[in-house]
Amino acid sequence: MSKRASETVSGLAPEIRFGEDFLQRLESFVPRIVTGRERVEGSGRSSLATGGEEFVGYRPYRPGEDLRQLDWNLLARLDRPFVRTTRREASESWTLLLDASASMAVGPPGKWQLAGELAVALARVGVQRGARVTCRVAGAPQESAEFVLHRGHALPELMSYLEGLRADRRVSLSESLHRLGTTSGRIFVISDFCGVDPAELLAHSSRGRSVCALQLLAPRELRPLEQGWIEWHDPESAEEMRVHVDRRLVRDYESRLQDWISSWRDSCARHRAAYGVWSSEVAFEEILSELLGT
Amino acid sequence: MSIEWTRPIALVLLGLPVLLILASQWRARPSTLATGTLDLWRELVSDRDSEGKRAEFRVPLTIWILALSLLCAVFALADPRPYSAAESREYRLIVDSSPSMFLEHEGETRLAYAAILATEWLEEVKKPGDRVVWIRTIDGVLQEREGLALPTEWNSIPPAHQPETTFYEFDQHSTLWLTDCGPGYDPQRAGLIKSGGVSVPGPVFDSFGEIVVWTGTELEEQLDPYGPGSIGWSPEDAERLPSELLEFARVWASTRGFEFSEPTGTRLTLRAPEPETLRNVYLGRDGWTFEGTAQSLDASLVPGNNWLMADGEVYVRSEPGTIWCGLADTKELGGDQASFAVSWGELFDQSFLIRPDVVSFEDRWGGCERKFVAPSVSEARTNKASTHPAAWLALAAFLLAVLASMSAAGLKR
Repeated sequence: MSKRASETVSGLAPEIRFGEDFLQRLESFVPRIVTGRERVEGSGRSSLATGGEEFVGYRPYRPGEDLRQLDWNLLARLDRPFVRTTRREASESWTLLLDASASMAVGPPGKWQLAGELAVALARVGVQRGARVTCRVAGAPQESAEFVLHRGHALPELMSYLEGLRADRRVSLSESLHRLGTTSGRIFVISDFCGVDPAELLAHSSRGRSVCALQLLAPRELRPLEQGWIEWHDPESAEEMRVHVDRRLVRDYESRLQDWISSWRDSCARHRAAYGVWSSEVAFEEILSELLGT
Repeated sequence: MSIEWTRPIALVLLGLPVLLILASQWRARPSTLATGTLDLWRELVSDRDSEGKRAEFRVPLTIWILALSLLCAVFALADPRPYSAAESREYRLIVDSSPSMFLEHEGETRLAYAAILATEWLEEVKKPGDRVVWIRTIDGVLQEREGLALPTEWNSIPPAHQPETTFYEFDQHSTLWLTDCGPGYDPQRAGLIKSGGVSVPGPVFDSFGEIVVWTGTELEEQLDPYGPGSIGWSPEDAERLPSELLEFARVWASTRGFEFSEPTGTRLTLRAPEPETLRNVYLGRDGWTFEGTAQSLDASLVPGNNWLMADGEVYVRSEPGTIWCGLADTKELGGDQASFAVSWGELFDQSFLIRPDVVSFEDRWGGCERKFVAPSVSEARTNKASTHPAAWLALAAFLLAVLASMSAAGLKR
């Protein structure tokens, strides 16, 4: 990003800074989401990110539950209904792809900050489930573009890794998606998807692999409140455009934004990929609850 | 037509409307905001590009109205006063011509001192085109002279004893009273110059034959060097005047202690006008009537104040020291005879000459404080509302402010 822009453009936050209570929030949230997820999976409800499952045990059947989950053999033997509860396969591999392009620095609050928090939280959930989690950052220097976590790997190292990265470059997420080449069972892409075609992401969606797109937008991008003369600045291309914003223009903007979001939602639905769009104001707990189900 | 500002210091506030417009431009400057959705904006604006450019550096109408309102308010505060030669001020200086004003101290009369103060004040306030009128009353007649300084001939004491000026008749804006000890009451609108004065020795009372003199330390009776005084008329006038009147004049003179002297008296002279056509008249006053012949007096030739008139013609006029009488032969004196005596006696009393250097003891003793109170001149020009634009400007400022607030409210909606 140009020096001028970083000095004068309002609302840019190109760095991630985890708060002192972040780990505490994470540790209180993850067990809840994991337990809840097992319960949800057992109950037959689907969440945004569902996929391959692993049997972990039985629990009594509750009226109204999907009968397909009923273990008929056990019913015959014990004359009592039980349902199977499952868990992700122990050998599952997750890939988190973070977009560190300069547009992710737009806020306030910055999208890059929320992306970092989501990445750490997802990594923590994945590790909890025994998955091998690879965190890749599109736009990071080559030598630090990937961070791998296993069970027992300390999260603070991932946090330090992310805090060392800045969302201030012109990055092509499409290129990163092309080069992704992963065998992971789950791919989480955290980005604003500005300038990205859904097809480039959904090309990774296939049988046995689930793709989850987390689109983050700044409140100002979702609903511009400012009116009058505004010089919009694209931190990625460093382009600027002076616009006289009035109510009518805001209304038109919101309409076009909804069209864009709808196109993403429809495309993802057609490819059985999970998709959600959130404001960067939303807490990571809320997003993950919606994404993974509680 | 020129404009004069009552509070020109307020004009420094003229910068406020300019500041308002600059501040509105400063507020309207574009904020630079980051966005990742610039492509969406670009698509939208491409349709409205020309419209946006046209509106780019426009000052909102509300700001223009508000600036105009401020402009009017500042002008109203400065209080403009337009005036032209036709609307110029008239300053009136009312001069006390009583004898005490001519008392001298160190070579300068009280009148001269008051006139100097008045001239100094006039030099400060007078604008080009303004008129200055000096006014005094001599023998009951109003005299007016124009000029910045006191008329030269007014520096000398009038021949007759003049009463105190009735200043209250001239209590108006842009009017200045010139006196030594004041009329005993304060003006409401006019200004006042009191010359004050030290003790000046001289006669303070004339008792016809004797005078009372203030020596500077005490009052002293002295013989009047001019004698007790006399009343008189010429033989020619005596032939034309009614014999009843001459007989009454002798009686009146003897009671006052005056002698008869021909052809003029030192105190009072009865005079008849040049003989012209006599007419039969029937006239009277105070309860008595005169029927006989008389000739009217030409006011332009005969000085004094009218005393006896009928059908618009004047038959008797008087001034200190002289009574002019146009009455000739008496056919019949009617009405109350006593009234005739009282009426003519009062005229004689008013008309006999008192020495002009006789000044009351109070005035000779002096001791008055010098005082100067400038008159109000701001309201003196005219009462027409149209020449007081401040009120209209204030109204315009208010209405424009209301319009601006309505315009702003409309924009918010």
